[in-house]
Amino acid sequence: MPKAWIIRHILTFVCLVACLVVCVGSKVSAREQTLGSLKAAYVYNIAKFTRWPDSAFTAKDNQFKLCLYGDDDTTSQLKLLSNRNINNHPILVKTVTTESAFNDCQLLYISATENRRYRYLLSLINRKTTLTISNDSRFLRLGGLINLTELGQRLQFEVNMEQLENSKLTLSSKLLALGKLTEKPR
Amino acid sequence: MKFPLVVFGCFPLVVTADINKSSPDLTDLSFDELMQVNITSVSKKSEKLSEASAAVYVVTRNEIRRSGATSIPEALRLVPGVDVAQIDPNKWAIGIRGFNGRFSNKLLVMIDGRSVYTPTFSGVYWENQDYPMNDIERIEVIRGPGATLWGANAVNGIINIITRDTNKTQGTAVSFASGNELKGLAELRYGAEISNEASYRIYAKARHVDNGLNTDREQQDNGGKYLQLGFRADWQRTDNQWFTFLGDTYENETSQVHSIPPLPYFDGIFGVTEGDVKNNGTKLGFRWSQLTGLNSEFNVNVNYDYYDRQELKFSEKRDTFDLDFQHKIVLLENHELVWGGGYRISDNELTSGLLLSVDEPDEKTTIWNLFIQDEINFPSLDFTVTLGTKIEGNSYSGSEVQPNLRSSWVPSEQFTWWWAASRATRTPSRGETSSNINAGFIPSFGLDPSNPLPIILKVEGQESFEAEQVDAYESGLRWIPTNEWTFDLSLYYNNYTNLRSYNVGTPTVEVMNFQPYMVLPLLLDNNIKGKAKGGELLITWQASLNAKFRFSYSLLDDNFEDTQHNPFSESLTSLVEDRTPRNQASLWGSFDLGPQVELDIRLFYVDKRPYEYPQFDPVDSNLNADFRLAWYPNDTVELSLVGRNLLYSSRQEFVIETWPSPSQIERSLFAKVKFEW
Repeated sequence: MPKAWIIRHILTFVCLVACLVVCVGSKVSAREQTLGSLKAAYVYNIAKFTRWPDSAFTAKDNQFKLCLYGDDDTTSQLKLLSNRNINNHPILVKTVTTESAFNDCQLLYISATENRRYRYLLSLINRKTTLTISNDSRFLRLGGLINLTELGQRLQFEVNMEQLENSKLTLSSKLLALGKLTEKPR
Repeated sequence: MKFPLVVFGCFPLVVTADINKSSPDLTDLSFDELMQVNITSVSKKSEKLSEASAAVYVVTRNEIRRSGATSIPEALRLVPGVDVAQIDPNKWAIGIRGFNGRFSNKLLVMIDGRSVYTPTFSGVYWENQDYPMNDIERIEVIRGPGATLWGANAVNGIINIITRDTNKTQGTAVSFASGNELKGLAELRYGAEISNEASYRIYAKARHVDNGLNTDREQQDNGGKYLQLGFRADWQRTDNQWFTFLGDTYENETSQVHSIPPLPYFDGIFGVTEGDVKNNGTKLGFRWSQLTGLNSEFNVNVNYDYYDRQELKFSEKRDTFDLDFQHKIVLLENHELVWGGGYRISDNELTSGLLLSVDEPDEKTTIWNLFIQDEINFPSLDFTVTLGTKIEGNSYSGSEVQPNLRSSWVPSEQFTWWWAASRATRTPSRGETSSNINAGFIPSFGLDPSNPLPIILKVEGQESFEAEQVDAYESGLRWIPTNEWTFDLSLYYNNYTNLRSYNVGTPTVEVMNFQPYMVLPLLLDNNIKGKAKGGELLITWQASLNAKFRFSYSLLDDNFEDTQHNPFSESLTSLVEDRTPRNQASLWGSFDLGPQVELDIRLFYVDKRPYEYPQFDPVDSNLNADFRLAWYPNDTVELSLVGRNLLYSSRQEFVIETWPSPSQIERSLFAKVKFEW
């Protein structure tokens, strides 16, 4: 059976190649991390380079409220940020489940799994003083401020400039230099 | 011809690379450093486990693509705990936890929330459920009863196929494939945005599968041609209101071969051995979702389904209209309440054929249900309890109450332990209540040495036929001990009552073609009971950044008995017990040979199906392999080569329940090219 013979040998070959590649190609990156923790690090750094109006913080507790909506790899990494500081405000990570709890968030991260609810969630918050971040191509168009996006091999972030100008938030020039600025999200 | 076991030998050779050595905290990096981190060097694996208190497996888009599936049944092969067997090139038997068959009736299959079962036999015509594989978001597979929320027949499992939202399928995608068994496949999809709020897609899919072989490896006329067109549109009308419209229309023509004992005196009545099946149908759906608060969501789902099936065994046309609603609301803190209901009306026009006959061609049936479920969280104990019940009524057997109690303990994101007790019922079908089926023939002196007459076995449906029932007890755990390994184990014990049985009726003598026959009626009843116990294990191992292995094993041990014993009891209980394999195992290796090349090798083992048909041997155990090699030269193009059932030139996988003419499934190879822009 020459046909069967050929197929058998093709398979054997393919399998050996696979073994080789796996053995040889598995160099461990020094920065081996999950995508969720990379995104969480972006969120943290973006917050560090953002300035809120003083009115955004209540004098009493002075906390930075990092609010999370939805559940994914990034939110579980963001939860590890509590007890760190952003501009001398200690971070309080809050998983938001009720309408009233959105009121005093400085930062709202919405999991991409909740993308159907973007518009509804954004309608609940004070968009002038809340830094909104998510990870879906439609987020900015629906009124979000910052979107994390994978472009080729790198993680990048897009800024909705129209929304930023309407808000009381200031992004540092460094941040604006690194991000992809979108005037009219489409 | 056996394939050398080099494929097996290869797997353990793989050298593990420790993919998670003391990783630095990324938040300590400066922004500039952070932006230099290569995404390809970070693990894309999910760190979170499902916390569901049920045996759930989700087939992702990635897995569907890497399996090389060109139709839905192919995508279900290798899903842990699912028994997928190809009966012939155009027919599939798909079951979960036993009872597998062409007419599997203890499985609920849904596409976008719409149940696709037919009340004619409480099962699924898989040939009528097609979709462009590229536009399927995921397939959720739940093993075990899911009676509380889901629709009828969710006795042993649920398969829920979810198509992609149109805002994710923008642009054009075209694929073509061709090979020795898959003669041709063409898929075309175009998606666009109407505005920021609304988008749509339209698609066409055509497929042509080749004829197969019979058990003597001679050509058998059982190929198929399929064509399907469809659309979907999504519209967010306001911040809290969404609409989805979807529809498909299809036509397919498949051939089949029946095997009826070649007794000369059946000529003219039962002499048919080949026949084409012509199917066409249309589905239309409308969905309305409304948020009435952050924790209150209302969904309404309206569907219409029409199909027309023409073949010699029997023909039918069916119109089904469905209305379902569901309201999810958090009334008290830590209580998530879901309640809802559904109504289905189905109008059937059946034309009697050689296999199945009815007295009254038209039949209208209704099914309604109401359900309520409360999920109670005890956050301080890491504990969740879910309580629910459903009441379901149907025109055949009245109403059934199906309660369900589940709980889970999730002490960390890496560990879940769940258990459940539930009752589910399987709605009777038209075939069981008002049809007569020419099920079998026994030659002269075959059953009784003193009876010279050939016997025709006629199964007669009974109005009094009741719903079949299961009480299921399940438990399972999921565990991620390290970043490289995950374990998912589930165990179950199912207690079945009221299963379908036959009572032997009073024989009559009839003369056909000048030959007298004894007609022996077998009256359907609910006397079989039994137990099934078993488990499923899934282990995944991320061996290195570019190699992942997935091992699955499932065990089923079932035992049934007829409480009203008769000469056909053993045959019937064996038909249920022995058509499903006791052991199944699979090993799937996924390798990324560089950023642009994917290789998948899949080995699967299915134990023998020892049921003995009168004229045929049982189905042997089967060890077989698939592979897929894909190359992505750029963002637009995908080139792939897919091989199926490679270890044998052809192999039998199943024997259909009625009038079998067993087929062998051949080794197949096809090449595929896809452009997406």
